[in-house]
Amino acid sequence: MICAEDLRKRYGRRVALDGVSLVVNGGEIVGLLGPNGAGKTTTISILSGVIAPDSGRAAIAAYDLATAPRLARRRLGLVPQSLALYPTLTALENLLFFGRMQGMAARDALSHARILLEEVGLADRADDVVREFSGGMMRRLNIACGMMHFPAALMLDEPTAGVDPQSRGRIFAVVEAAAQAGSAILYSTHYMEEAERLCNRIVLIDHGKVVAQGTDRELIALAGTEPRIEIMTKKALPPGWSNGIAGVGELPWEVLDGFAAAATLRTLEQVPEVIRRAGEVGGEVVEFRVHRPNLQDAFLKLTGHALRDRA
Amino acid sequence: MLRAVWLTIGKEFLLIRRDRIGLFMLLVAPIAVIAAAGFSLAKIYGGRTAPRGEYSVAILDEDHGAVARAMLEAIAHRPELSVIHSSSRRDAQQTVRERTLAVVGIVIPAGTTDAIEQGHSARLILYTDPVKYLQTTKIELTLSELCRKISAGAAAEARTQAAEQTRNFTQQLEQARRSAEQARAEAARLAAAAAASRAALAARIRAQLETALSKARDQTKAALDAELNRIQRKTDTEAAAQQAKLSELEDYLKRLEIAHGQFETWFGQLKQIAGSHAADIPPPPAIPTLPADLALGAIKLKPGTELKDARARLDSALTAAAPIELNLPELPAVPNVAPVNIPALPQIASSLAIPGTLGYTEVDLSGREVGTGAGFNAFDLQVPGFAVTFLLIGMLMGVSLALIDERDWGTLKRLRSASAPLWTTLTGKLLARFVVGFIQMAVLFAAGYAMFGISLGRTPAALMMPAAAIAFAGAAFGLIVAGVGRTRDAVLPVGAIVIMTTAAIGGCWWPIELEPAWMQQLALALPTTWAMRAFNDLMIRNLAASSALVPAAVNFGFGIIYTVVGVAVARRRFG
Repeated sequence: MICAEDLRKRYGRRVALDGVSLVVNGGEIVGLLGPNGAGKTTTISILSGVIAPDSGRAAIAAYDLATAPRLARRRLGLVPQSLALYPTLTALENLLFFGRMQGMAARDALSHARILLEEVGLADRADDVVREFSGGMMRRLNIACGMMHFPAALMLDEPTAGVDPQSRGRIFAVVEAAAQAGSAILYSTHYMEEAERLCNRIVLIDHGKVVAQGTDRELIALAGTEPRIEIMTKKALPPGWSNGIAGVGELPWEVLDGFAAAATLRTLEQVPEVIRRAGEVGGEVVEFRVHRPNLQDAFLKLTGHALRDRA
Repeated sequence: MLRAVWLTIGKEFLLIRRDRIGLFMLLVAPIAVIAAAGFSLAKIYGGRTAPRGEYSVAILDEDHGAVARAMLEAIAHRPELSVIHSSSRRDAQQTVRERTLAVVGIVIPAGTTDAIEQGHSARLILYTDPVKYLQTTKIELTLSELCRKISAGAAAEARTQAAEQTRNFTQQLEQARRSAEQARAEAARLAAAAAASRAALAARIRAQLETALSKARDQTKAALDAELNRIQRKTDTEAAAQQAKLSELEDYLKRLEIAHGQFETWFGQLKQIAGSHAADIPPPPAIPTLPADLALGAIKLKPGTELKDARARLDSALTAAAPIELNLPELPAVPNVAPVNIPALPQIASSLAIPGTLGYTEVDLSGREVGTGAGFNAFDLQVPGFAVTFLLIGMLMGVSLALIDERDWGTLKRLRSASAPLWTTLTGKLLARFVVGFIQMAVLFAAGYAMFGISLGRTPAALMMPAAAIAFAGAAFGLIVAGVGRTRDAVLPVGAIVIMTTAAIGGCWWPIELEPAWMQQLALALPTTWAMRAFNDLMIRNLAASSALVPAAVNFGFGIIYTVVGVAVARRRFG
């Protein structure tokens, strides 16, 4: 289990964390979702014992990182955002080194390294030096290094940054397998899709604060976001074109070389009626697109800015 | 924790092994730079590293004697010199003036050998080109040495010959002395033999005489005995007759004495009877008194002892004959040959008036004799100097860049999330780099020994002391550099400046004695100075291993200070 209670951290005058609290239970994958600079890496760094919080409490498997750091560290695995690998060592050597640094016996480390290499699809590259690997292969190895010692708590800081879909799929599979094995997994990302696809729960974080947490549906519901439709017609749709359809709100929308309109819907069942009305008013519907509400919308709604606003 | 340090050391070795450029910088690059610097600077130190035939000399032999041959032979044995034979003095001058290959021209004038052999001085002629000052100086030094050697060789040869002659003469005298001694001994032997023969002859004659005398004595004695026995018997007979008459006489005297007594008694009685008339009775006639020696019993006829005594005296005379004294004529006297005392010859070699050469012997600080003007092997300076320089590159860059790399790669973060504190990582890196640095020094010194013939001093193992000390100090200083430079881009110039400055001022590239005094004082604050002091003491000055103790201790002290400061700085930077 990973437990954070009211974590606070400042770097000079800048507040990095402002009372972050969260819990990740064994077998659970919790996404830490937020834009760059929201405090995700700081949170993971504190929970992995790399830096100390100014205040608050962090515990791994019930061991407080402040009072029982060795016991806590032995039970946590970190997959940092940067590729924490020795580029001139082979994949196997990297795994063995980190496994042994976490207290594994040489024989156990070797056998588990072979298993992990198989899981992340690098078994045939075990003896190749890492610098010859692609970015995706390095990411996969990076995760394997964090999982070498069967950690009770695994923290992944944007583990799929810049990887190809194939590698991403492998990574998801490994993470899910770890969760099924009972690890508590805190998965930091700013990819909404990843959080939706992988996480049991999601913690939305922004400006060092937890904005909301829950399942994706809970968050979307919490944000009160609605479906949206975008329609392109042959003639311009005048304001009030949707009058009479209950729950539809027109949105300003302009595109070049054509006429378009956008509107919020109460439910997706209203889509046929709205298209029919637009065709009647605008001559003919050339194209339309329905946007289901997602975490992006929820985040936007909750914070007033998009997930990728800040780089 | 020690496990973490150990694992970190192992990992560091793996990283270093995979880093081919790093290995190149550690081992191959220093050898290349050492070779370049050593060959380039060999002339400065007068070392033995000049390439074969670097200097050409034009030689004109007008002498055609032993001196010229010796000179040519000596030049032929100098690897840095090659000879161009000239046909005339003009040709020699032309060679020096026009051909860039010939640095100088040497003329061996006719009669040089004769002059030297006759004890006169001789002068060679040297054609020089002022433009080629350094090369000319080098050759002049060489030529001076050759001239000195040839002069010394000629004098030594003369002394050798004189010594040989003295030795021969002494041997001849010794042989004569031995012959005289043998003659004297032979004469003495002959005299002794003659004396022995004479004594034997005398003894033989004496024996024969004694035999004859003994025989004569026995015969005489027998005759005498017979006669004496006859006389003895006759005497005894006569004595017995006389004894019988004496006995009768004695008997008569006894009776006479008795009658005398009876008369006295009668005469008394007569007087009594005569009464008053007794007075008228005339006295009786006096009876003469028997002389005392004729008293009764006093007359004894003594047995005849005279004859016995005479026999004894004769026996005594016969037996006590004086030894026979032979008076053989003396042998003629052998003249006494006095021992031959040949006085020792004076040492001709030392007294001969051969003019010696005025030279000197160069002795290094250890008391070892070195060749005059031999200088030292430039690589004795360049190998440790550049080994230390590249060691510092390896240590400073290795430790600092490795730490920054760990941080940039994120592995430091991962390690810190594991149960391995920062100090274990720092210690592991420090120890691994220290070991690598030490091995690097050992390899470079071995290469220097194998490739450039460097001196390893009296005790090669002593080189390990300063090598270990500078490796430790360099590795520890890497921690400070890592803390000062935030990034690789910052560390590289900082490290380069530190390395180049400390190496240059510390005497890694040239003898520190060339630097001004203030700079030498400043250099005492640098570990390179102490390392080079130890290496120079051991390798060039050939001092004892103990000379490296203080410099090595100073550098270990530097290492400890750097470690303390470096860990503090690195904790702030990477903690």
